[in-house]
Amino acid sequence: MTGRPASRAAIIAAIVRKDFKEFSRDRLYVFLSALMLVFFIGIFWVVPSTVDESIVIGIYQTGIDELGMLLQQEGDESGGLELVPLASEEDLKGVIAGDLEAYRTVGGDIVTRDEEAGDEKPKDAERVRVAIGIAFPEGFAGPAASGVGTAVTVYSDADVPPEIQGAMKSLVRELAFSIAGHPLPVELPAADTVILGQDRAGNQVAMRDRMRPLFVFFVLMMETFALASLISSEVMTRTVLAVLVTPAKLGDVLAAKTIFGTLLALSQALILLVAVGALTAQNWSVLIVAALIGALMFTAIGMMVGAAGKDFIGTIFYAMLFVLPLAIPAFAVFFPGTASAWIRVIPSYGLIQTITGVSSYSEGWADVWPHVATTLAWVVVLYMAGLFVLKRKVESL
Amino acid sequence: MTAPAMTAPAIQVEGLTYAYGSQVAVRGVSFEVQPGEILGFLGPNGAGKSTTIKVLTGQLTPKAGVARILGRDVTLDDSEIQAQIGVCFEEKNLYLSMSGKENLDFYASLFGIKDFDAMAVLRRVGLAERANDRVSSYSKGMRQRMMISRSFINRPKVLFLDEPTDGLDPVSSAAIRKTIREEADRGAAVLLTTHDMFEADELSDRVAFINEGEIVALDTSENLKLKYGKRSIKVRLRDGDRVREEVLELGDPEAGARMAVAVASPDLLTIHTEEATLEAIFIQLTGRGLA
Amino acid sequence: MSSTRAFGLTRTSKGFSLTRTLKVFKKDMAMGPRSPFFLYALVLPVAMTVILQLVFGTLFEPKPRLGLVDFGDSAVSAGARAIEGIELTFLDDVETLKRQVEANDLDVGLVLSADFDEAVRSGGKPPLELYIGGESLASTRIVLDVTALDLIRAVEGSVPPVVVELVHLGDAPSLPISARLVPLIMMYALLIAGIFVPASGLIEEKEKGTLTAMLVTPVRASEVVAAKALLGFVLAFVMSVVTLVLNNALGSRPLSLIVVVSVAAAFSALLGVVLGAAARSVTALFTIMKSSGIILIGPVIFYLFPEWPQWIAKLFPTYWMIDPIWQVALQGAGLGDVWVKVAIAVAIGVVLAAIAGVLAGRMAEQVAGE
Repeated sequence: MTGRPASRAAIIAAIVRKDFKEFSRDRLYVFLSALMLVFFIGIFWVVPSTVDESIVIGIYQTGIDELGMLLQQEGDESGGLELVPLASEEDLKGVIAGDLEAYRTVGGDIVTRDEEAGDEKPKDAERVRVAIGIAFPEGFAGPAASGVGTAVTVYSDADVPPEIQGAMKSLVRELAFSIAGHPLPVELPAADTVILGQDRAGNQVAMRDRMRPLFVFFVLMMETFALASLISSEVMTRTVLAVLVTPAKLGDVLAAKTIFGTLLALSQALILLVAVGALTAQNWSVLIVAALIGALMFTAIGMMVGAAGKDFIGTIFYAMLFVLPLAIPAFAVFFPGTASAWIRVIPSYGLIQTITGVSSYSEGWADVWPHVATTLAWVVVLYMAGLFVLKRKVESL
Repeated sequence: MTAPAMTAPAIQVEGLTYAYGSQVAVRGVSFEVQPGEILGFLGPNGAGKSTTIKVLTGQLTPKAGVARILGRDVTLDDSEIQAQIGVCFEEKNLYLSMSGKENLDFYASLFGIKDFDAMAVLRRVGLAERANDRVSSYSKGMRQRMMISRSFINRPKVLFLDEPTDGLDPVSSAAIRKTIREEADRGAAVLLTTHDMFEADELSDRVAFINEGEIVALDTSENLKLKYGKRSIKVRLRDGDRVREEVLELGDPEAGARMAVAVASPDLLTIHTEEATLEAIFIQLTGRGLA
Repeated sequence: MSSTRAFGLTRTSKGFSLTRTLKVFKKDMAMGPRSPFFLYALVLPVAMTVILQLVFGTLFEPKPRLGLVDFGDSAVSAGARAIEGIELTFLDDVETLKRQVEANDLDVGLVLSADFDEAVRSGGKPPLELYIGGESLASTRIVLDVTALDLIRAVEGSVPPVVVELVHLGDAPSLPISARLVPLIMMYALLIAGIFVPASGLIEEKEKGTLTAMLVTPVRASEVVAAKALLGFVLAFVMSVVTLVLNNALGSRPLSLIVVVSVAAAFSALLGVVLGAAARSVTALFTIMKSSGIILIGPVIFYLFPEWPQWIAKLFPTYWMIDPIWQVALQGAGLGDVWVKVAIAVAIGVVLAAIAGVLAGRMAEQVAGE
C-alpha cells in the first residue's frame, strides 16, 4: 500500500492540518479565543479616544471685559484651559462642591442644575465637571490696574492636585500683573523654538492607542499558551512518538509546530490590529512584519514552555516565567518618556516599540528598523533555544 | 505454525547495547526475525524489551552493536525504513479529539499513501461503525484496536507490536491475534512483546526470553518446552473419598504398562501431559516470574 | 449505571454529611501546600502589592516634570523646590535637558543663566530659555509656565496687585491611586485562592482518579465539592485579609469588613467549584480562566479609571462581591450602606451553589463513565 514516500512539505502540511483540526475540535477553546478577541476589541473602543488635557476652570466675574479677554487668550493659546463662566459666586461654589451640576449647551452657554431641588436635566447639553474655579470680586480690574491689592478667591475641590491649585493662584497673580500693566520681567522666546519634538498638544496619544501593543502582546501570549499546551499534550500523551516512527522527522514536527503556532498567533494579532484600526495604507507592511516576528517569538517560547512543563500546571508556571518579564515593555508604554535601560534589553521591547511607533506615532520602516532588527535577533536566539529544548525533550521520551 | 523458509532477515540485531546514563538497559542482544515470522519477545517489566523496540524504530540510538531493518542500519535516520515499519505502542498515544478515521487518515498522509481506505482498515479491527466518532469516546478496548489498526495502515514489512492485546476481552484478543497472523502470512516480520504467555505461545514462531537486558533463551516454543519441560504424564484416580495422582515418566520402561492399567481402571478421572509452560521455563531460566 | 455512581450516591450515603465534608477538607488542607496553586495563592497578593504599588502606583497620576539647569544659584530653583506636586530634576547641561525634554522624560525644561536673577531684578528682561516637550499635556504646560513665571516675578521682587485666597470645598480628598489599586490586588487574591485552588484541586482529583476512589466510599460527590469550596473560602478569606492588611486598607468597621470579605470569599469559592466540576481537565480550566479572566477582573479596572462610565462595572457579576469590600474597606461605608450589593452577591452565590450541586452529580456520573 505504501506509495512514493511523502515529501517533507506534504508531511509538514499534514501535521499542520492535524494541529488545526485538533485545535478546532475544542469548541470551548475556539469560542473563548473569539470571545477574548471581541473583549479586547470592545475594551479598545470603550476607552476614551482622546486625552483630556485641559484644566477646567469655573470663573465668576462681572464687568471685567479685559479679564475675560486675557483669560480667553491664555486658554486659546495653550489649549490647556477650558473656561466655564458661572452666573454667581454661589453657583461657582455649588458646582465645585458638587451640590450643583454645570452643563454646556449647544450654543456654548453654561447652565446649572440643582438635582435635589428637582431641576430638569437640560436638553442637548453636555455635563461639565468643574473642580477648581476663580471668583473675581466686582470691580477687580480697577484696584488691580492701580496696583492696589485686592482679594480673589480660588475655590478648589480637595481632590485637585496641589500643583494645579498653586498654578491657579499664580495665574490670578499673573492676570493682575497684566491688568496692572506690569510687563513680564523676562523676554519670552518664540513659540516655535520652544517646543522640542513633534507638538502633540491637542493631539495626544490616547490611552487606548497606547493599549494596542498590550492587546497584541496578550493575544500573542494567549496563543503561546495554546501552542505550549498542544506541544505538552503531544509530549505527555506521547503521540509525537507515533508520528516519529513514520517517515516524519523531528524537524518536520518542529517546522509544523512553528507554522501552526505562528499562523494561529499571527492571524489573531492581525484581526485585532485591523479591528482596532491600527492597520493603514502606510503602516501595514511594518505591522504585519512586526506581528509575524512577534508570532515567531511567542512560538519559540511556546516550544520551550511546552517541552519544559512536566504536566499542565508546570507548563503554566514556565509560561508565566517567560511571559511576565516580556509583558513589562508593553506596560512601560503607558509611562511617559524613555524606558529604563533594563527594560530595553527585554526581548519584547523592540516589538512593542515598533507597534507603538507605527500605530501611535505614524513612524515608518526608516524609524523602526533598528527595533525590528533587534527583535529579529532575539527571535533567532529564542527560536534556536526553543528548538533545542523541544528536540531534547522529544529525544528523551 | 511452521517457521518460514530462511531468506534475508527483516530484522537483524547484533550485540545491541543501550544504556540510560550509567544504567544499562540492553546488553549485547543479538537476534534475527525473518519475513513472515513472528518473534515473541518475553520478559518482565524493565527487562529491556521496550528499549530494544525503541532502538529498532529509530527512537533511540544504540550505544554499541548493529541493528538493521530490511538490511538498512537504523542509525541512519532513514525515512525509507520508517516507511516500511508499523508500530503499536504500549501507551495508547492516539489523538483523542479526532475520530478514528481521521487518526488513520492523518498517519496515512505521513506515509504518503494515496487513495487510503481507512474504513477497510477499521473494518479489520471491528471499528468501522465507530469510524467517525471521536477517539475520546472509545472504550479502552476500542482504543487498543485503534492502535493495532494504525500499525497496519502502510502494510508494513516489519511490525513492532508492544502488548497488542492489552486490555482486550478474550473475543477481541482472538480477533486481533488472527489479524496479526494474517499480517505475518502476508510476509511481515513481527516483533511481538507481551506478558501473555498464551498469546506468545499461540502466535510466535519463535520466542526470545529477555531478562536484565540480555536474551537468556531464543528458540521455538516447542523446542523450549522440549528442552526445559518434563516428559511425563499425570494421571488422577479416585481413591475412596480422595483423589490420587500418579506421574508416569515417558522414559520409564514401565510407563506403558502403568498407563494401560490406569486407562482400564474404573477410578480414572483425568490424564494430562506434563508439558512445561513458557512461564515455568522463564522462571527456571531466570529465577523470576514474567510479571 | 456504573458501580461508582451506585456506591457513591446511593449505597450508603443518605443526605449530606458535614462530618465527611470536614474529613475531605482536612485532607485537602494537608495536601494543599504541595499544590503550586496553593503556594501561588499565598505569594501572589504580596507580590502584586509590591509590584503594583511600587512600579505602577504612579502611572495614573503623573506629576508635571520640570527640568532645571541652573548655572548660578537662582532663587527660582529654591522656589521650585518648595512647590508641592511638581517633579523637579536638576541637570548640568542644556543639551541633556533638551534631549530629555524631547524624549518626553521631562515636560518642561528651564535654563537659568548665571546672572539670571540679577538681570531680572535690574529690569534687564533676560531672554527666558524654556523648552517644552512636544508630548507634554497642554494642562501640564500651563501649570509649569505660570508657576515658572510666578517664581520669576518673585525674584523680580514685585508685589502682586492681588491677594489670592484658596478655599477648599467638598469632602476630604478622594482616594489615591495606591488605594484604587487595592480592588485589583484583592480580585487576584480571590481569583487564585478562591477560584483556582478549589477548581484545580477538584480537577486534579478527577484526573488522577482519586475522586473515583473517594466516591466508592460513603463520601458523596457533593461533599467533595463542598470540601473544596470550604478550602477555597478559607484560603480566599485569609488572603483577602492579608491583602487588606498589606495595603493598609482595613477600614474602620471590622465587623462589616468581615461580612463583606466572607461573602466575597464564598462567592469566589463557589465559582471555583462550579468551574472545577464543569471542566474535565486542568487544560480546560486554564483555557476558561485565561479567556474569561478578563470578565472576572473587569470591574476592578473601573476603580482605576473613575472617569470611565462606572455603570459598566455593574454588568460584571464579580462587581457585586468586590464593591462592598471597596466601600467598607476604603470608603468607610458600613453594612447598612452596602446591604443591597451584598444581597445581590449572596443571591448570585446561591445560584452558583445550586449549579455546583447539579454539576457534582454529573461529575460523579462522568468519572464513573470513564
